[in-house]
Amino acid sequence: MSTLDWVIVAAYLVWVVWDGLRLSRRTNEVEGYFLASRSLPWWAVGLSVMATQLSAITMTSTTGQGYADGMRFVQFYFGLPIAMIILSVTVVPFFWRANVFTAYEYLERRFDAKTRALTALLFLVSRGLSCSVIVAAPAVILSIVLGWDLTATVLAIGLPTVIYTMFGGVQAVTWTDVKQMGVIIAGIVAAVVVLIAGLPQGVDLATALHIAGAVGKTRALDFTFDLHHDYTFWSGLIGGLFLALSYFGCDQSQVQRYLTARSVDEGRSSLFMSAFVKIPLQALILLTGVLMFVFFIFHAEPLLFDGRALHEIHASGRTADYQAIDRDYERAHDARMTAARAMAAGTTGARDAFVAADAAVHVARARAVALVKDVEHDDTWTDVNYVFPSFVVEHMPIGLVGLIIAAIFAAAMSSIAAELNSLATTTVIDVYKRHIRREADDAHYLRVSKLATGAWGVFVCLMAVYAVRLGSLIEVVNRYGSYFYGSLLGVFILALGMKKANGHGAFFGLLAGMTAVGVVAVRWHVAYLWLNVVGAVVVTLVGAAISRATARAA
Amino acid sequence: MADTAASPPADRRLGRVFLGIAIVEALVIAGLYAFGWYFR
Repeated sequence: MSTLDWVIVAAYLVWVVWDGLRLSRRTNEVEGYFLASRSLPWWAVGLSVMATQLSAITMTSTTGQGYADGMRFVQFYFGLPIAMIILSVTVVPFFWRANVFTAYEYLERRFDAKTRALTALLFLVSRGLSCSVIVAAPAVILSIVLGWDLTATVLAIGLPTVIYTMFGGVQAVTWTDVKQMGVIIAGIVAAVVVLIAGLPQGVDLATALHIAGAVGKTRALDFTFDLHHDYTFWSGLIGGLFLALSYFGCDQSQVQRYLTARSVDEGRSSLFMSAFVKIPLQALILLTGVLMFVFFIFHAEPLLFDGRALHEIHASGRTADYQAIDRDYERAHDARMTAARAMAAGTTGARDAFVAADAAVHVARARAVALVKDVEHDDTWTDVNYVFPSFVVEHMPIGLVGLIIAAIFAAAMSSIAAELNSLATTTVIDVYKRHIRREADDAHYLRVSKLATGAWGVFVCLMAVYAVRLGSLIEVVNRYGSYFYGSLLGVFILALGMKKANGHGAFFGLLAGMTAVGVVAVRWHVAYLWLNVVGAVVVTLVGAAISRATARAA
Repeated sequence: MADTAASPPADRRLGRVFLGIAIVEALVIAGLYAFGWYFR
């Protein structure tokens, strides 16, 4: 990276802290610190909702997914607009008028203390761990791509975020989210422009998309009804609906966003923004990946995007194996480029030649990946997440590299800040104020809130550093953390939709739902989006049955 | 805007927003399908 790029990244990091602290007002009371005294406009809350959901993993992994698998992942979001409609008439007015700080606080009013404690605990454990992954994933990638030490990368992402979140509270989080969304969008658009400009003569955008389409990269919809496929139209529409209902309706990191809105209507409008914008935005990010695929047809493409893996191969004495694969790969890559040029020129039969050459490229890459898996003894290894950062550092012009690295930082920080803020809120409101110190003045709770934010920040950064040593374990924990979502949704369906549901039903229904999700996931290997449906349905049915039985017994 | 119980005009406005979301989502999905079909 050039000096100018470093200056841009450094300037961004300094600016985001300064701006976050400058814009935080009325944070001298707990309601101001956690809920901005319910004063924020809908568009700021809406952008914050989107920035929280769009993490650095989205920028690196989704573009990588577009590169490797095409547009199919966009189906994941098909249920989201419907979820926003449902939430805007159910959960948003309910939580807003209930005057609560957390979603779990409401559950004690509706059910009992044990249900609140269990749901808050589930949130703290799953979100605490997933937040450390949100720090660790881009930190690992950036440390390899930029050549930084991992701890330095974790600190570069974590420290500024902790500072402005700890001292500025939710106002700092929201207003920096707004600007960070601007940086993220600018970064993505800049990448798309550079990718299009980088196409060779004779290959315009339409031709590039036809080339990508020849190997299925432009196909976004898959109407197959197969419970084992992760991304189909149906899993996205139905499973995605349940996931979005759980995430936006029951997860404190999202609920807290719209509780800061000025009114119920403004809270609703903030969700409508996601309903309108989310799918086109994700399609644009995936399209960036598809264009990277085409770009690398005509430019030198490394066999492995993760440079660290190459060192591991050399260190293990398998260099000869790697070189043999690399020779085959280069031959296939050259053949694919020739076929793509012929396709662009309209030569008969070029399409079939291109498809065959692309398959040969895939075979060579698969052999290289298998070699790395063997050397690293890690069956989950993949370098898809490194494609976009490698492209940025190697192929973007000076100045834009800094902008996009800043955008990756922005994506990470906007998610982490909201997570830290919500983790601190749940810790203080649902644990400290409820179980440890019930009577104290506002200034005391404010001090504890800031300490809790800082403590979660330290925990998340430490976990992020250790996450790398834990390797795939932390990914597994994170994945299983998302298995709670559907069950949590079931508890809120009981709370808001069934008058006769009681605390025993909700508590034991939640346990039954999580058990069912675990059994289905392990026994039938169902695509994970469907697990949200399983969890919500089991909790609702079991919870209703137990409520009915215990009410009769009483 | 006052945060009061939903009134008929508010319901109508909400209804129009829901219709808008449904139309936009249908158009986006149709657009994605057409995109994949055209550039196949």
